[in-house]
Amino acid sequence: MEAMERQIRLTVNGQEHELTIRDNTLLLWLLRDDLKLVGTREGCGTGVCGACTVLLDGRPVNSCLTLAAQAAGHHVTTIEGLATNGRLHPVQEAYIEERGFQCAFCTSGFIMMTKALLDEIPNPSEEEVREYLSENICRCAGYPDILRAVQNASRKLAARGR
Amino acid sequence: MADGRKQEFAVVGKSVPRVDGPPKVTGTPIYTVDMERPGMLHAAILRSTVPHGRIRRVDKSRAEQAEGVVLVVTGEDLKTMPGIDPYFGPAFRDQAILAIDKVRYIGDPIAAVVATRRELAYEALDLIDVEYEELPPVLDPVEAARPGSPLVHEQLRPAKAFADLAEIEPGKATNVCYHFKLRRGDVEQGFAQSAHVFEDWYYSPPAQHMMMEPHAALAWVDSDGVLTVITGSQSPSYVKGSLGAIFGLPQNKVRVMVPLVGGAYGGKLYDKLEPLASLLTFMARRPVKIQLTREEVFITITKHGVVSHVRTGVSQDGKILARKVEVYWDTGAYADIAPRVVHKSGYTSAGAYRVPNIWIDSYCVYTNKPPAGAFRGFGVPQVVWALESQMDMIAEKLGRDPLQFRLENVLLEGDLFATGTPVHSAGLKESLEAVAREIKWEPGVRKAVKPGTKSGVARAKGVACGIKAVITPSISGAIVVMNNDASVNVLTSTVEMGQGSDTALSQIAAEELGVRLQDVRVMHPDTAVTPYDTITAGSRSTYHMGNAIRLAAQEVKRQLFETASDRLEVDPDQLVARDGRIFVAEAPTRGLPIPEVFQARFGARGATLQGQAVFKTYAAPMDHETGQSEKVTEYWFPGATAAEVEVDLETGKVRVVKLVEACDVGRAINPHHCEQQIIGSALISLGQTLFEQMILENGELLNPTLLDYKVLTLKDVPESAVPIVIEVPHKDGPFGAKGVGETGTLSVSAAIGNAVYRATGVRVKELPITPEKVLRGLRAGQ
Amino acid sequence: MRPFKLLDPRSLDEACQMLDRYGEDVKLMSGGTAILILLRQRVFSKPYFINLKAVPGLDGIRDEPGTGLRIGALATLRAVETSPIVRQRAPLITETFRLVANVRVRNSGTLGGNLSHGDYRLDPPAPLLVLGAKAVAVSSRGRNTYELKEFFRGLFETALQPDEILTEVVVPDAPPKAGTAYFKYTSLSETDWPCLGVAALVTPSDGGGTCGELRVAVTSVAERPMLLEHLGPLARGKRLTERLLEELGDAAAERVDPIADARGSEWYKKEMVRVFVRRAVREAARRAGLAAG
Repeated sequence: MEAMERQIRLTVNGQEHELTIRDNTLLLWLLRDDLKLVGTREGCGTGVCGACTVLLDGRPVNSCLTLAAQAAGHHVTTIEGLATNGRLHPVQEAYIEERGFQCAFCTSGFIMMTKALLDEIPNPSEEEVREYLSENICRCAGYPDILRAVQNASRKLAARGR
Repeated sequence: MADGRKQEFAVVGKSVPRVDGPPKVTGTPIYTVDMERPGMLHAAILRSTVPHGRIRRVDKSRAEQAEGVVLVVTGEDLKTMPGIDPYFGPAFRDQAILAIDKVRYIGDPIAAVVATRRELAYEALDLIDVEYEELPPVLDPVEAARPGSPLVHEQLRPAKAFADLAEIEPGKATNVCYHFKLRRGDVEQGFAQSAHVFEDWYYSPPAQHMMMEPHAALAWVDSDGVLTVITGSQSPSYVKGSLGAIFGLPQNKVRVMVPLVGGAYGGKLYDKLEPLASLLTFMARRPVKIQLTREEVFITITKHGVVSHVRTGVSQDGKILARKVEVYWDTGAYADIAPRVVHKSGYTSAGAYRVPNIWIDSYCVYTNKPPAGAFRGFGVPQVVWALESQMDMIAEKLGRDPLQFRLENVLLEGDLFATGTPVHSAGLKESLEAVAREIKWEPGVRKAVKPGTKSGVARAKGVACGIKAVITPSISGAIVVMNNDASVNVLTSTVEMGQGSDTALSQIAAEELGVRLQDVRVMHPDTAVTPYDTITAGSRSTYHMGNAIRLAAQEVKRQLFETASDRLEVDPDQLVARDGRIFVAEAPTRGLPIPEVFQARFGARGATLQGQAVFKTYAAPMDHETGQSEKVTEYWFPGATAAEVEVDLETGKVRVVKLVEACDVGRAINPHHCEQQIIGSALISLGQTLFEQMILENGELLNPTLLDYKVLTLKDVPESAVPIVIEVPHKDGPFGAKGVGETGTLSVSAAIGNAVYRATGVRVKELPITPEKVLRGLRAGQ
Repeated sequence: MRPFKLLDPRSLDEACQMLDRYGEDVKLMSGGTAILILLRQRVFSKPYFINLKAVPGLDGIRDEPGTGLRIGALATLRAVETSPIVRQRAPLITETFRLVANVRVRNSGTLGGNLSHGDYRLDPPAPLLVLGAKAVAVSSRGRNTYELKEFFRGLFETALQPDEILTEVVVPDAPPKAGTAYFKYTSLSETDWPCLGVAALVTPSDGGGTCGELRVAVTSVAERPMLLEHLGPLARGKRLTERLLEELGDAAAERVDPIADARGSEWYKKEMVRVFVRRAVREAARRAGLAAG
């Protein structure tokens, strides 16, 4: 059998990385184990809880069901890539202000999904928010606060002229 | 009250922002699963594939040769290990670190593989061969309780880990590991006097905590030979003791640290992965981390499936005269904390009402299924489901409005509970009235759909209430350290698992010491330095740890006042601490900033003042035959739910349009956080009412992933979900506060079930209320 | 997850050769969302996977006059859902695809992967069946076109041969004035697998007022998605009265053999076939400008 390893290049949070990985490496493992970006978390391993959400070329995907080999050559954004120069991203600020988290294990995923949503639909209706975030699980059930956080973030981004 | 409080307190009673915000939104390593140690190895667990059997042989030789594998351990290895008592459990030491001789459920740990990478450890599991001699599985808790049933455990050893469980004694040759009894009045006479007697069976299925962070533990032995474990545990003090008992270590050679926890809800109490991680690090001589997959979490600990039989007698004028309740708790293969669940929900099994004649039998039964333990609400929601469904059936029979019927019978201040304990600070009436107001309750009996209606939507409202008691006795210790710049470290073993304890406890410390919220830092549990705490569970931390911190802070304040009184030449009792200053109450300009008090007392940079306190509650011993006790609990937390539902008459599908939950919190330290706890627990219960359940067939879990076990998502959240904070202050609570973590779970299922009945005439007695059950009921009625 | 070698073909030809060469030892992978779950659960493994994402040009979406929509098998579900051409030519596809799983899965999962998986619980087959879609597959033996209604053979079983790669789905234009609708019914959580899904297409008859063509497909309820061809003749030329809708629902239920699970027993699912065939046809008729009932 041929070597089950490969060299890949990919850009994470604006920084290019060159790594040797096993072919079966999941993007989630690469981020957490190799790059030590542990803000991306695994909740279910089946793509339905959303805790492992990252943006791949700006689009949200489940890093727990994405092969790192298939992410090669692409741009990955994780929760660690949102703040700039120590300043929180407006979506992060909104989650703090509205207390859109309790245990917060789901929060990185919610924030990444909220960013993706607002990039697509700057001023979403409540129904659009519920639809977009429909499979992000908050087991503390802080959903009412999360809905407020998304609307708050939308206002913040609008005020900053995006 | 809200306005008056604002004048009274500086920080308490205010919805200040969470103190743990920034690390939680930036992806900082804060959970056990994020933690690493140099040279760390990873472990994976091989689990039983049969529900009940003897282990004939485990062949690990192929796995030992696999890529990256360092070590493979089996139960057989444990038998010959010197100095180890390999059994654990908070009630009985009934669970081995790895199964010894026998497996008792599908998922029982049999062997562990330690490897250089996590995925290599999991890959090697397939190379271990196990031979079983299968035994007949015990699956039904009611049958399992009968004499002559095959036994899950041949013998049991009490753990003696907690005062409230000190006296439990297992029966011999039975699967019933605990039997709770309560006898009050003469129940048969009560039934004889009753105009109507109601008798029904109810069922509540096993369910999953589904905390987002899976169980994980990282263990190593440090250079001083101290066994150190980082774990997402709700009970670090217990784990320290338990590891000491298993490995024969002095308590100062065991160190348990708990960082932030990604959800727990009762699923991370007592021993979970800590004994195995410790064993493996001793054997591998390197740090070892275990992190479960979601499928493994599903079978590690569950919410009890419960069968209950409720018999109630009432007079024609609507007084409850007698109640006899029989409850079977399916506790699975290992008891975990189930005897306490059965005890505590046992004595509340007559409900939140005045009932003169009561007879309760509550059985904790072993079966060959995944273990069941604590789950937010601690058994009470399963019992309330039965009791409060029946309350509506009684009200209907009597032609009474269900809300009014409850209000007339509900326990009031000073009334005697089923245990003979007088009720204090139990805002049941207030909670019921609040939810009724919010949902715009329309008095009267139900308006069922007209017979023959086959399409369209039926709409109605339902109500229910419940009450739970806090675990008593229990203990919380706190150390408050003030630095010379007036900043404060609070040392406690309370676990921040999302409930907001870091924030609430900071508020209490800041209020007591008169400093700003941002001056206080609550340290996370580290048993090498933080004092004993019973558990972070059971809605007890605000009250118990809050009181401990208050007392410890008062000790710090006493020392500050001592020094300041010298300087200011006034009596200490004329001083107050506020805004970072110590000053004369009557003359606020006469005072000193705290740093100056330190300068006066120590004259040394970096000096500290300490206060410490242990807050301990007491219960009057309960009579074993009658369950009677003058003081069974330190405090009660009651709540009420109102739900408005829409039922699609063609499909039977129930949509909750509005959910209102009111809970008596004593006094809200942080009102917004109380609201989060109230509505969060109510929403989780909504999911458990309508669709959540673990489906087991011959002991095998058929829906062990989130693809097939669905929990509440944003799309399931009602358009309107309203939390209501009720404040009936407790005389001994910190600033009057009690607890609020579980109250919202108690009565949601019954309120929804009652609303479904009032909309359709269909009474579902087995949770969850699926569309099929409703549709079958509709068809049967037509 | 067992280790495997991911093969990166640079062309379709090369991918076909890899299939021939590795035979039983290889499996195709596109978005990976379904297969990676099985791999992670250690219930499935192969020594080799062919990374179809490495092959360029398989993800196009275009409208070919006279043929219809041509959707590359590697187009993601999300790309199909948000495609303006698809929305214009086949709004039923847009309406259905937005209900599949979640945004993340739709961003990774591909149309070809979805259909080849043969999972009975998926939504996309239903609209494609009523629109008369065809699946195009290639192998080193040549090119093969399957009518979609003959594509799904059984539980996780399709007509695709082991050496074939699904490359394209062709969706013919809907008949003029057609009204379409898709109803997804979840009996438990809103985000659960469906209890069933029903797609319907209705055209008004030439004279108007009565039903011309009726096509109904059900998914997620029996072991394969099915086009219920026997319903069309029952409705042709008739007014879609409530009574006829009931007959259609009953006729549909008769033909469906549901899989019982937590979402409903066989009885319940048959009842729901009746209800949702009625609802889907009623709505499609409304959209076709036909007053139903």
